[in-house]
Amino acid sequence: MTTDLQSGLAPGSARQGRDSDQHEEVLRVEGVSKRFGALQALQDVTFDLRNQEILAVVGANGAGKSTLMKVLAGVHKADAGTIFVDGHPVDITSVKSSQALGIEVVYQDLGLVPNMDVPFNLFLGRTPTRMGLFVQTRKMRERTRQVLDHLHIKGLQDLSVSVDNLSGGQRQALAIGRTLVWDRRIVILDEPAAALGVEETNEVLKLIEELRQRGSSVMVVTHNMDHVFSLADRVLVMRDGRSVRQSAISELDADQLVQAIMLGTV
Amino acid sequence: MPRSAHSAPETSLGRDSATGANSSQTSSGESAGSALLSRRRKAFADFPSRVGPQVQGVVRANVAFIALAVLVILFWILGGSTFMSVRNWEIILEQCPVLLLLALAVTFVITAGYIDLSVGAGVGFAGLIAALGSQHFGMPGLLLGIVAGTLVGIANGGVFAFLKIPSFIVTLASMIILRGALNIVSGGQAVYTDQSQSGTVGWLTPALQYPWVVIVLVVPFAIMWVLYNKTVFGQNLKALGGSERVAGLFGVPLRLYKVMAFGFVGLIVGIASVANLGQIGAASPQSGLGMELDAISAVVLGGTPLTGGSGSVTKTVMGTLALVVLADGLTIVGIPPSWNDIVRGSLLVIAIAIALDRRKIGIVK
Repeated sequence: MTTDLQSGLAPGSARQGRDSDQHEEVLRVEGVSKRFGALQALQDVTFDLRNQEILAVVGANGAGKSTLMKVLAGVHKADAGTIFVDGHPVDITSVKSSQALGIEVVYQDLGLVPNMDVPFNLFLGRTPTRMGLFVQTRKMRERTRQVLDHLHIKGLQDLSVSVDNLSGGQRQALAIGRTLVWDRRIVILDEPAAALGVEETNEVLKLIEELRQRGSSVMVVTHNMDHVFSLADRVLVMRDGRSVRQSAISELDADQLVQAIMLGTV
Repeated sequence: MPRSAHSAPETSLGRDSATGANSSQTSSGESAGSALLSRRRKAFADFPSRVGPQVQGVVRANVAFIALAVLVILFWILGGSTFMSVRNWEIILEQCPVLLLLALAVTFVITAGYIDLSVGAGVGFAGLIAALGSQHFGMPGLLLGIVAGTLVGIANGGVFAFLKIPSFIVTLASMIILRGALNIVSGGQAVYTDQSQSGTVGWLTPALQYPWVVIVLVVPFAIMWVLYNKTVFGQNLKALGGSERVAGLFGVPLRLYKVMAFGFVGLIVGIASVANLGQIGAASPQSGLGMELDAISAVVLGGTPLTGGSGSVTKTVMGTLALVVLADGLTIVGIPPSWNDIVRGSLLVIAIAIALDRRKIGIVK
């Protein structure tokens, strides 16, 4: 935790000393299933995420995208299947264990606590403490300032404002900023531009590209086909809880992608 | 809460100048410059009416201080030197410890968005255990009361967290059960701390009298202020009150925090029960009766919202003092005790009517 806190914000710092082979598999999900009562939310989902790639995850509502995300986040535990990180099978049983593997999720509703201030939200669940009890406010503020400067969040001088006083774009940037605080290796974003204006959306797309530059591998759940084609290297298509296709963007055109989403066929 | 001080409705300019930071918060659709300009123009146009809301904001944020000041001045006028005598203020302070401890503890669970109705019955029950303990083991036996209070709190938190029953129901049931247990164990009789029935408890009774009582009041307050404002425990409880779901998504151990919050209340209830015993010298079936409502009143009067997410232990102290001053003042003025309740209830409604910023709340339930 301490090393995370002290690490710099220079590009690539997340993976110093790591093999930068672009085709190295960072995450592999094999045959993962999840059932909620009568609902089979995920069935035999299989895909992989490569080093420093941006993988778009597409599918209609109810296709299982959010459940997949929450399984990787450790919020839900998979009923069956195996998850590999760096080629090693791992057990994601809790949010903490997911975080320990370097996975960070940016939720669609951003996962911010509205009544709390900016530093607290950046460090939510991982507040740095002395003796396990006393909050290290100064450390949090310094690190927050670093991250905010890096994100170019405009008009946010006073860190003590509660998050519900920020604009939509500022909040989104903050939610993504959380991945910068911890230098995450695998970043999963759920509809990062869903509620934003054009300008703010462009800022967020830039941030996602930057996450990749800094060494993270990124999964982006999105409904926006333009973003899929402009941003992603590969795409994972989900339908009715199954992974129906994973392929490079260059192998698909928009019509084929829509067909895959709607019909599950290619 | 400093925030609510300058978040008076529609004084967006006032708020901007107060924090200097939020100027772009409402301008997602337009450029910040033009938004500021139009807002400034608007603010200038209705300048005279802007003063009102700003004053309202200050009043809202400080209703506990104002209530206390108004009560003191009122009873000074009505009660004269009897009320303003040194001896009377000593009495006021001596009446504070039990209620203050309970109100401070309850502030923590209310901040997290929960409620604890069992603290009054807890004081009675833990006090009984402490009295029985001291009969057998002398002064160290009082510790058994603190242990009993803590265990009751942990049980409350455990049932709440693991059986997922609302805290209101859990602690309501707990209150009823504890009252029943208190009646059964005490046999409906007062249980003295020793056989001499002297009504004093070792060094404890003098410690709860002036001037020592000041320490008994200040030390717990200081500890709880630090706990509430400077520790991860207090911060995460505020986060739970703001959004328990989000806190859970980011790995705040919800069940642990629920058990810890109610366990903490239980610990303080245990300590309060010993203080109560020190003042009265005996545990009776009536001990702590209605104290849960006094404690919640003090918290609410202080301005901590029952919806959770924010609060202030300092204002809880003011709320507690206001309630104690009110009871004391009414007695001095010669108003019968039953009227005390009516005045107290009315004060609560008036204070909240002033303090509540309804524009921040969509629906009031």
